[in-house]
Amino acid sequence: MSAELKLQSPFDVETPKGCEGWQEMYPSYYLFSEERRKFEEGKIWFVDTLHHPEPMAPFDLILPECWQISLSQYNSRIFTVPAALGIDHRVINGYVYISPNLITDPELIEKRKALFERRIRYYYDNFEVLYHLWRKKVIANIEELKRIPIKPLPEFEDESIVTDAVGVSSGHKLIESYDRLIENMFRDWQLHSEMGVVGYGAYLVFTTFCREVFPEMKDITLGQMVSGVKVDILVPDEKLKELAKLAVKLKVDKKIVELFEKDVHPEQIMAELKKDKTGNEWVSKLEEVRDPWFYFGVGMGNFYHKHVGWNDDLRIPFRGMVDYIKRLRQGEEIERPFERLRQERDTITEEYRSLLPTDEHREAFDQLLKTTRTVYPFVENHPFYCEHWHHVIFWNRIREIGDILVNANFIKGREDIFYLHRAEILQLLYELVISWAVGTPARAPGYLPDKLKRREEILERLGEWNPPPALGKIPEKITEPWTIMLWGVTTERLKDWSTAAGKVLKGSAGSPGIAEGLARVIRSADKADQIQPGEILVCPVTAPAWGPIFSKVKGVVTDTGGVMAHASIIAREYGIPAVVGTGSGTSTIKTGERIRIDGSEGTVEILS
Amino acid sequence: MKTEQQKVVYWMRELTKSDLNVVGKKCANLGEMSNKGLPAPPGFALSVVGYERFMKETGVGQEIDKYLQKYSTETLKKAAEAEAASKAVRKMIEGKPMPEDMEKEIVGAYHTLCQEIGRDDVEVAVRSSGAVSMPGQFETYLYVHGASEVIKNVIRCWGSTFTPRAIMFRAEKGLGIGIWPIGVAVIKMVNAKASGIMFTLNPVTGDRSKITIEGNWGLGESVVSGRIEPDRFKVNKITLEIEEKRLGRKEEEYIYDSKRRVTEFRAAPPERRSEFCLTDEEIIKLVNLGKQAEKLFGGEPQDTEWAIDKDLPPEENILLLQSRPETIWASKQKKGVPRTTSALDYITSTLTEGKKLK
Repeated sequence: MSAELKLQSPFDVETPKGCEGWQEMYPSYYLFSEERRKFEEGKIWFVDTLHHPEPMAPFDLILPECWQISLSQYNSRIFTVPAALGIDHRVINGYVYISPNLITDPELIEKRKALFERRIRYYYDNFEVLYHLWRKKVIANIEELKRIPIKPLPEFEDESIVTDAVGVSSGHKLIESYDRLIENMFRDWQLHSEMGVVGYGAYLVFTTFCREVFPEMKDITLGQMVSGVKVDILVPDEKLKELAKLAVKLKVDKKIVELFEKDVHPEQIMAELKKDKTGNEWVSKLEEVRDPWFYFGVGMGNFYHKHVGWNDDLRIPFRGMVDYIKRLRQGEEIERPFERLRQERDTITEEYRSLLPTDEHREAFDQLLKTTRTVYPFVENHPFYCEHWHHVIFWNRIREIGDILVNANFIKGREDIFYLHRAEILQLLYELVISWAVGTPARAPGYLPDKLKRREEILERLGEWNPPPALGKIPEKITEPWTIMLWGVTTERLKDWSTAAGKVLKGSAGSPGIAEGLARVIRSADKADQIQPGEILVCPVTAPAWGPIFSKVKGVVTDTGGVMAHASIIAREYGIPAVVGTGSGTSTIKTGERIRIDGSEGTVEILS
Repeated sequence: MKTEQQKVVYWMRELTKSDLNVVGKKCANLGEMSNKGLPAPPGFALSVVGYERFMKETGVGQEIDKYLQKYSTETLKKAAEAEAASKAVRKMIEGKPMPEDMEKEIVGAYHTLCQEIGRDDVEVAVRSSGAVSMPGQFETYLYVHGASEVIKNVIRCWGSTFTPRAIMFRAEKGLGIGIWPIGVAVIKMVNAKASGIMFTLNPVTGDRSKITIEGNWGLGESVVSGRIEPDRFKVNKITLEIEEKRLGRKEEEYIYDSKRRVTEFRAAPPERRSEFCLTDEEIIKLVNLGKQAEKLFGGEPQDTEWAIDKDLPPEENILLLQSRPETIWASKQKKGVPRTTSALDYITSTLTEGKKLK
């Protein structure tokens, strides 16, 4: 069927005008090249806008690098998924393209299968204990991240270096600290993937089983059956509700709303409140929940440095809180109806179960459901630990390195550090330390600011370019479980992608219902304040921290994602329709166009 | 199970599906539906005993036996012979009067039915009801009205056990070519605003969590025959969400003209073609009936016929005319029984298989 489906060669993709030389921003192993041409043209590449919807600033490439290694190694070398190695990455015009490496040799598959069964069984059999340990490891790594010392280079070293016989200088320690930051990030992702194959694996199989009997079963239904209802990823939003209720109870709600609406900065609001006893009580409660629950980013997984956390910009959680206070005052119920959600989940599960054709089906269903429910807490909760909490802190620690480079006149502003690849930064830190130790002028101040300005311009322009969804050669069969599940690559999807143009876009049903309204295309989280009430949000992906936005919009359309996209879950929470995984929503729909979305059918119609 | 072996007339609501041998399959099913509270059209059933008594007491049974002696089973496999035999036998049957006490009982039941509906000479359907389903072999008479017409058509219906097709079929299968007792259903004709079919699964994909409905204005014949493009609805059986509504072209409607006493296909007026033949509320009511029917018939997916009756009040105007098990997917899925293994074996084998792209 897809034999006539032809995709463009990755070597034929043109560089947009004014972006010439973009390649120099990225390491050579991330580029398509003549050396590997035959290999690279022989397989399928698709753009990963699920995780990386925007062109990659050179430093932000650390994220795909992290997960490329961590996820791939669990597939290829640790658990040895039988018919797949890892997921290959390349960058084209700033966008990340990914491609699974498949195994077809039956003998090798058998060999790997034996290992896989033994090793993965160990994780399933001991999941609860291992998950507990896993959480400890992740949190310990975050604590370590907070502790890494980053200090400016002094003119004279402190006396203690001599009296304590430390033996190493501040310069050396700076380089060490930078290395530790980078290692810490990679370690976070090592742990992220440790549970991934196990967690998503069970879910994938459960999905496959259910769809054999109920071919039309939707992702949201599957998610609903295995979801734990009370999950850590939703705690930040819960905390906002608690704070809103406390504010009303302590009668400080009026003051908070009034000041916030006068554009008084939250820090000042808090200072104002602290002046009396009740206000002080509320502020201490707020301070208490900030660590860790306000280490919550505004981006999906905080995969970009600009995805700041609530702790960096308290206006974001305050906006949510003020919204909840207003709703409380209008007598609205803001609690998530846990009991109802749990009942709904049980009823739906039981009804589907009763429709299975034989008792054998029911037995298999029960077993798979049990296993999937055991591991699903990981699937739902890991983004909070590995992505939000860790990354919000990580980006800020890199900014501290940025400050040091600013002081040395290597770069103009602290944010400019993100226009450098992590390996370039290491080199620059050596240059800085040499300059500091030797007393010789560094070269960087002379050329670096201009170079980074050019990079900034290129990235800005690349943001306007629409990456083709898929490139290369379509394989007979995909055996890489992540590609199938996380990115939903199927024959149908490839077909949709190859004919994206048109007035009706097809995606997946994310959250049921129909909405009609004006589209607002938002490519990145920092532009979210452009959204007007009653519009339909069109974006590459959504993030759970956009909570308040969900209460503003009528519906959501995303380019990528299925049940793993938080857009679906949150949209359902807010009772608004969502169509996810359209492939080309942000490139086809324009802001201001009237669209009609059907969250049950997974269609988006451009009306005018 | 009924034990009064000699009884001729049963009200549908007295029957259950275990009365298959008493009144035939169609009556037993309709009975089960009424009995369990599904809105089947009101009416009564004539038992297999009624057929037997008629054949015996009028002497026509013996006459038939005698007549058929001149045929061998072999000759009745041929169309021409079967046709000649059919004509003769049916003429014999239709020429006999109904035994007096039976006539009294049937006419009495018909009058009671008219009273219940609140109209004289209610139009009824007289439907054959064999012990096993033999689609198209026996006959059904629609829009029968008035006591004498009912009696006449019941006899005709009995006679239809000798249609050429039925004779040939029995000869072919070696089932015996003599009398073939059946039950008869006498049920109110639906005055259909809209009607159609409903599967309690998606017949295209086999997905049992869906209910699919096809419908058109007027009588169901237009949908069943496939003559027109009907409206199509797909509903999630569990959440009751209407997932698909497709407006069909509905080129024609099958209508009963009560003055001329004929049913015929007519071009549909444009305003009805552009309007769905079911409201959302009606769709959900219908889906709930489908779910009920499925539960009633052992949890097997059902293939049903439905209609909305203009004569009945809104709260009880949706009727199920028929409900029988869907067989294609049921057997397919039962064959694909999972290898009962541990969850882990499942996971490893599924992760190894992958997904075909070409």
